[in-house]
Amino acid sequence: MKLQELLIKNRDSILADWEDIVLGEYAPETFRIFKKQKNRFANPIGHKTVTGLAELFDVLCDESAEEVDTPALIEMLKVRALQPITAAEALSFLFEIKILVEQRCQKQGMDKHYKEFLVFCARVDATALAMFSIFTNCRQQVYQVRLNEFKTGRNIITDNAKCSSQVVRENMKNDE
Amino acid sequence: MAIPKVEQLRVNVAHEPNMFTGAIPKADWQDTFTEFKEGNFAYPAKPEMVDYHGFPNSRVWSPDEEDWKLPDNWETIILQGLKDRLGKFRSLKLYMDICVRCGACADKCHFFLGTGDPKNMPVLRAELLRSVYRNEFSVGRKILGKMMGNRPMTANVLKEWFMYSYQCTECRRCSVFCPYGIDTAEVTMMMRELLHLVGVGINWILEPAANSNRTGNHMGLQPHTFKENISYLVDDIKEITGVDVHPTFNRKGAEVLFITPSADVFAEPGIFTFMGYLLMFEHIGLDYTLSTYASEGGNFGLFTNNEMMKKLNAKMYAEAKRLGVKWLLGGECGHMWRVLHQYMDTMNGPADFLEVPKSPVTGTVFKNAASTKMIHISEFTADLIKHKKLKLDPSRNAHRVPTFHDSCNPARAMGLLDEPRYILDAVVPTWHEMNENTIREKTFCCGSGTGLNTGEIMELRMRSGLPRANAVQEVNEKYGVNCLANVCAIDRATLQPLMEYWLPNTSDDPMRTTDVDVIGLSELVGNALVMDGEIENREQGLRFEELITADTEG
Ligand code: SF4
Ligand code: SF4
Repeated sequence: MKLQELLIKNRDSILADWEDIVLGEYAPETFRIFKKQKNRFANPIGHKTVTGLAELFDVLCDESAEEVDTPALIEMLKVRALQPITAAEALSFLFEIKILVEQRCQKQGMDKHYKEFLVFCARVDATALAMFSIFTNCRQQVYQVRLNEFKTGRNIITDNAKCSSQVVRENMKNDE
Repeated sequence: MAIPKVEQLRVNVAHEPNMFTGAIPKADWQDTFTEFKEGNFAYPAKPEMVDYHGFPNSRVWSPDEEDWKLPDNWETIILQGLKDRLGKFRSLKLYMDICVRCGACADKCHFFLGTGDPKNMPVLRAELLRSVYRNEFSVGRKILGKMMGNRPMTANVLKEWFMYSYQCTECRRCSVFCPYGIDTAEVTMMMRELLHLVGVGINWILEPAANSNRTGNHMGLQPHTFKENISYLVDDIKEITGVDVHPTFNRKGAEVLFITPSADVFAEPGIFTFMGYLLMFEHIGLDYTLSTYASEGGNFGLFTNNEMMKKLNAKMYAEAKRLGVKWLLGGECGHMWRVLHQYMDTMNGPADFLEVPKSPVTGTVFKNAASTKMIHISEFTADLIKHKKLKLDPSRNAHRVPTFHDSCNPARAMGLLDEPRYILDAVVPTWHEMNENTIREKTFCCGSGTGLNTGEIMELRMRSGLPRANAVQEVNEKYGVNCLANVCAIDRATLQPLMEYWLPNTSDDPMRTTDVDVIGLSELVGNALVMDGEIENREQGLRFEELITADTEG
């Protein structure tokens, strides 16, 4: 069996483990709910995580796939870009796939797949770079949203309860 | 920053859960510690705001500093405050006693669903207060003690109250699912009230409340500015439709006093909603006036304490009395309606000096407002449409494919579910509902209500708004929905950035920021109205956007 086949055959079990790892970053009480609830409206983070991982896995397995930024993965990274964690923490889950795949390879006798596994790992690393770009785009979007608040003047109802005359008065005071 | 090693990362990910909460994994929630960092808390109230309200302990402080500069006897103040409130509000005592921790509410809160922080489960949020209540006031407290999860009032507990009572928008979605009808929003209100007793509050609530108290509206706008802003909108209406509208201010003897959130007078997209109101009132020749004193529908007292809420609500009625109007018409506001429906009557009612609202156009008597004498613009508009008193051309909204976001307060606190939908049917060619789990009584909050619509916690707002945005994403994909209609000023201000993040602009138009515009229902009404004397073949909508008419389409 080639590695490719092994990946396809073990898709469900690898994804299940991967989901456990990613959702396991949340507190135990949260994990139970995020893992169990399948309705996308009742559990948006769980849903976005599960669909994002599945798309990412398929991209990793399909050597002809060039685009990493698939819709569901972007959504998953958008969720992570909002969490109070560092960029490294937000993306480190990707490298877990190496360990999960390695475990499956071991079971089959690693030697046979060793070279293919290295190629797979290189693909994971390249994907990491692409994902870092997606992630920074998401972060940038947050800043853009903040900027839009000021551009549209919406900040007066979301930032500071000041009327223009008050601002003028304050400026005059500062000038004095 | 050191290069993270894969192995390390793995350890990080797999064995240290709770990175998202800053808590220690697997530890009991009571033993976890609340960490304040720039971005996860709204800024504390400025001393002058605290003083303005006559609240105690005004000072400069910050939640991310260890010392919150509380008064020496703060524990006593809090516990006495809790005792007083338990005596005063039967509901609070009930909510403290009857929760069976069944967990039905646990996954119903948008803050929990968007942050994954277990303390945002409504049951745990309330437990933050309940654990102290049990320790101090309930019967079996001495026997079972910590086993029951009881705990003394400590500084950490207080800090937790602050963190999580300001990660609750008091939306009451959880209460819909609680078999006992426990309203965690009221528990949040109590925690916020108690915190104010020791000078812990946020600026974004106290400053608008102070402004409202002083000048009549959240922005602190003085009468001439308020009037001037509306005159700009009158000019825009003239330019777009060719019609003159005639709002009046502080006019004694008018039949109706119209009060709306002041945000509708100032900022996009609320101003377009306001233009819609003006057009409709002109259309039916309503004898109404605006007040430059009661120039705010919103009531940030609701987010502060019950006395302040009463005072700000009373102002609307005082102005109605002064002007001698017959009844009140209220604009598209969220929490104003909660105050009106749930609290006004016991606080300031009944408003016997006013008459039961009666539509001068259709003759309909709004008996539902027999005591408060105030009706919602959507009730009023739906009645006009039912009696065919509005000349509408829905094709003017052909460029809009809306979905409707039920704002928490009108939906859950006053049951305004069908009127807006009835109006939408009449004013747009087509619109689509979001998933049933996310609308009507089960609607998901915008994530920024109750004074959490402040900029410094934008990322938190994007998280808590995820469940709402997620449902919009689906109808956008499925039906090409391109606008999010609603009847709340806070929604109009906060759903816009939410859409910008979750549904960013994918069109070629660089002026657009999102694929889904946020729009007040009355804007859609105003845009569809065929006015007497309007310019022929009107080409622009109320935002000066180009209309798709039969001519341009071909
Ligand atoms: S009232 Fe709303 S925000 Fe508060 S706990 Fe309940 S669901 Fe969450
Ligand atoms: S649903 Fe009601 S009774 Fe059950 S845990 Fe929540 S608040 Fe308690």
